[in-house]
Amino acid sequence: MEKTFSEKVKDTIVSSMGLKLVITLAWWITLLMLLGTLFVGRMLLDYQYRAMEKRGRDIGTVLGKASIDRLISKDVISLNMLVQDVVKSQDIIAVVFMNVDGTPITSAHASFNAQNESVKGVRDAENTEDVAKLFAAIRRDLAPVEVSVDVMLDGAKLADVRMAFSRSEAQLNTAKVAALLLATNLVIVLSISGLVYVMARRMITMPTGAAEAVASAIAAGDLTQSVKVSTIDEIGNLGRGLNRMAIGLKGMIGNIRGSSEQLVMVSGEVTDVAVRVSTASRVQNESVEEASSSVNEMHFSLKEIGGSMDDLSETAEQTSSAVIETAASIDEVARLMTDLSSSIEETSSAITQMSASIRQNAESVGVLTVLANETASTTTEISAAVREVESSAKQSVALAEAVTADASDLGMRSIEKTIEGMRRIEEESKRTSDVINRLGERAENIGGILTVIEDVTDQTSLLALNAAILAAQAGEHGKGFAVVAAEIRELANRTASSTSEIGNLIVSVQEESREAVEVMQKGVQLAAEGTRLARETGDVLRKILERADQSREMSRSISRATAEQVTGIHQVSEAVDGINNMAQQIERATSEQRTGSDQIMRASERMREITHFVKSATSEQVKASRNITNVMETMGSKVNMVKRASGEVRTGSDLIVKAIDRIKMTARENAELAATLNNAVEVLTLQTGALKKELGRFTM
Amino acid sequence: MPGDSGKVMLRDTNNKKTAVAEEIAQIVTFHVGQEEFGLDIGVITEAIRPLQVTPLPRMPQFVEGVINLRGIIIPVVDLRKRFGLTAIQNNPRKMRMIIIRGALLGTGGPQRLLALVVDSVREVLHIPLRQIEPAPAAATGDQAGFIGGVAKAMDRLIIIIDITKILSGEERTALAEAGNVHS
Repeated sequence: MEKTFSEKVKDTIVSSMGLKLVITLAWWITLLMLLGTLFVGRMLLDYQYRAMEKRGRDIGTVLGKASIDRLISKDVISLNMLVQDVVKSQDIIAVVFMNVDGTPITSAHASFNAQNESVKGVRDAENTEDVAKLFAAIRRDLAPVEVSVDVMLDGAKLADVRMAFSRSEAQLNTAKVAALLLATNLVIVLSISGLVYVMARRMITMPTGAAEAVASAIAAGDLTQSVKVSTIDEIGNLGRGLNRMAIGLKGMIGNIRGSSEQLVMVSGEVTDVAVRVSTASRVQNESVEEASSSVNEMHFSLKEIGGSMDDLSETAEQTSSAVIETAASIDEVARLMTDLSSSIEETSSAITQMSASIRQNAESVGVLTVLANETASTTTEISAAVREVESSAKQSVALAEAVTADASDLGMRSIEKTIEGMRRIEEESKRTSDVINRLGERAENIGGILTVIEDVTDQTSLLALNAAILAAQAGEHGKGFAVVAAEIRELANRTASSTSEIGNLIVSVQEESREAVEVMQKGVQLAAEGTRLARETGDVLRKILERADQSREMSRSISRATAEQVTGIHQVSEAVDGINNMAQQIERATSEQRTGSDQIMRASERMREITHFVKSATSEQVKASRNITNVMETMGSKVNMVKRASGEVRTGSDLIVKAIDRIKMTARENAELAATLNNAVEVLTLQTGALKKELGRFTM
Repeated sequence: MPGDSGKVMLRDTNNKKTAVAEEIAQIVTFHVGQEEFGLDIGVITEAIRPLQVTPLPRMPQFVEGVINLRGIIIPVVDLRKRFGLTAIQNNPRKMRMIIIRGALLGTGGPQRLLALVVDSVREVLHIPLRQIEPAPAAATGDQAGFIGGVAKAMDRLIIIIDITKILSGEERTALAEAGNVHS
């Protein structure tokens, strides 16, 4: 409903301190001033009457002294003349000489002031010349001031002089003075009101208005505002108190925001690393496929080894290039471990900063308590801002819970699968090592055969020599035989040099087989080491999950504490109590958080150590794989030369094919694991983004 | 003599060597130490892998012992020792014994055989007699006497041995007597 004019005016006055002050002040000053004026007027009038009486007495005395003779001589005419002179004064109404018995001596025309309008009026009304009657009429109508002076002669009263003074002039003067006083009062009141209004505006209304604006801005989330303070009185202290509060809030939220931004950064980097691991495992998968197909071809070629060794040499070349690609993949993994190591370093330093922020929080809590006491009068606005914080804390709890569920679920499963994969790699390496050992044995067998061939060659050579000798002795008849013997010798020599070459090849193949076996064994050791490291990582992950649970509990306490704060603020004393309760709880929660972050820091130190270990294990593996590559290349070229010698390694290649198949399977599973890890990281990124959005509502 | 027809033998018993640069000689080359030596194929009976040497106490000192080759007893001379080289073996598998005839004196009947232990046997070379030069004059002394000539084949220098000079006269006599007693 529309308010009436008077209600609107009342609202305007009630809502302005300045107006209230001014109106109250003006009302009271005016009241006092009026009373004062009244009082002063009254006093002035009495004073004037007194003066009149005195004047009358003086005049009467003088008249008396002057009229003694005339009275004695009963000279009425000169007495009239005397009286007439005196009566001419404006304010004198009548002067009458009276006998002792009360009868008038002077006559009416002389005794009364003919200029005075009111006297004239009375005279006309009475229409008589009787002085006594006239006097009585005047007394009745005009109420004059009467003065009577006795004329004394030698101690005996001759007559008395009666005078009547008009009150009207005195009253007029008094009225003038009173009006002047009132006017002056009005000016004073107006100027004081104006002054008070301006001062109230400047010293109270505007500062408090500015403080109110800043408090509203803080409630809306704008922490950049501050109150301009220029005085050190109560209003100035209020403004300072508000500023301190805003700074405290700014510091807290700034720290939390900084931490959340770093969290976003770290999760972004972990995302990158997970993507790259995924890609590397995919590349590894493809490489294994190529190696498998190459090994299959070699298997089938070896089946025909009795007929042609050409297929065998081709296959050896392909295998060599496949192994080179595998070595390149291992190189990438090594690089990724380096990146992971540096990411862990950054996470560790972010945790250190978070520790420092927690300590700062504790200090801020003390300041907050003091501010609560100071700002008891402006808590209504703050209440709204606190309600919003409460809802934010509730959302944080939900976010932490979601992150915990995902991490525990996916993280632990991934580690278990990694351990399984390591174990399978170990098995495969052992099997491959056995196969290579058997290859070495075959080579030894070949060596034995070569010994026999060498022997035969020697004897052949000797026989050829003896044949030549006999042919020479036979002379002409032996010439043809001599040629034959020479050729046999030649053949035997060639065979001997070939077998010696084969012998060297066998030795080098045996050496390289031994080296390959050693490399395999190293690989087995590294796989075992990797398994142990994965288990330890699993333990660390579990610990981190525990800490996440504790953090969630702390968020809940903060949420509860905030709820208490909201209800408390409605009443001044309850508000201060509520804030004090909150401060204590936060202090407790902060010290708990500090212990938790210390443990996280230690856990991340451990992670750093483990990562260094894995890094060096990976670089070992890089060297081992490079060795294998060299061995494979040498082997390929040697196989080309062994083409002429025959061997029997069919059964060995069967087993190699089967071993490669199993390795293929394991590589595929590892690729799947990498993809799963990728998904988990994506979810983590989403959650940190949501947290950042929440914090973005505050402007600082 | 067998192997004679169409060739002029280097060896000429009891006479100076008369080398006629006409035909091609067949030289069997072998190694002792760093040097390569050669023997005319005519003087060689056969070449064998080393057999077990049986030392006999009654043999002269330069004889290592005897071997039994298909029933025939043959004294053994180690050429490494003869030429004053250390007894280090090069390659036991390559060592050979070359059975030669004509190094010893015969006591009527077939000539006695001698077995020479060498480091390895190389090949049979066909060298024109033109390329065989007499021993250098600087070579003197006991050991140098056995050099029958020097042949150049490809880049190799082959020292041709005169088997009649391998053993000195006293050694031959001693061996013959011992052999006599033994047989």
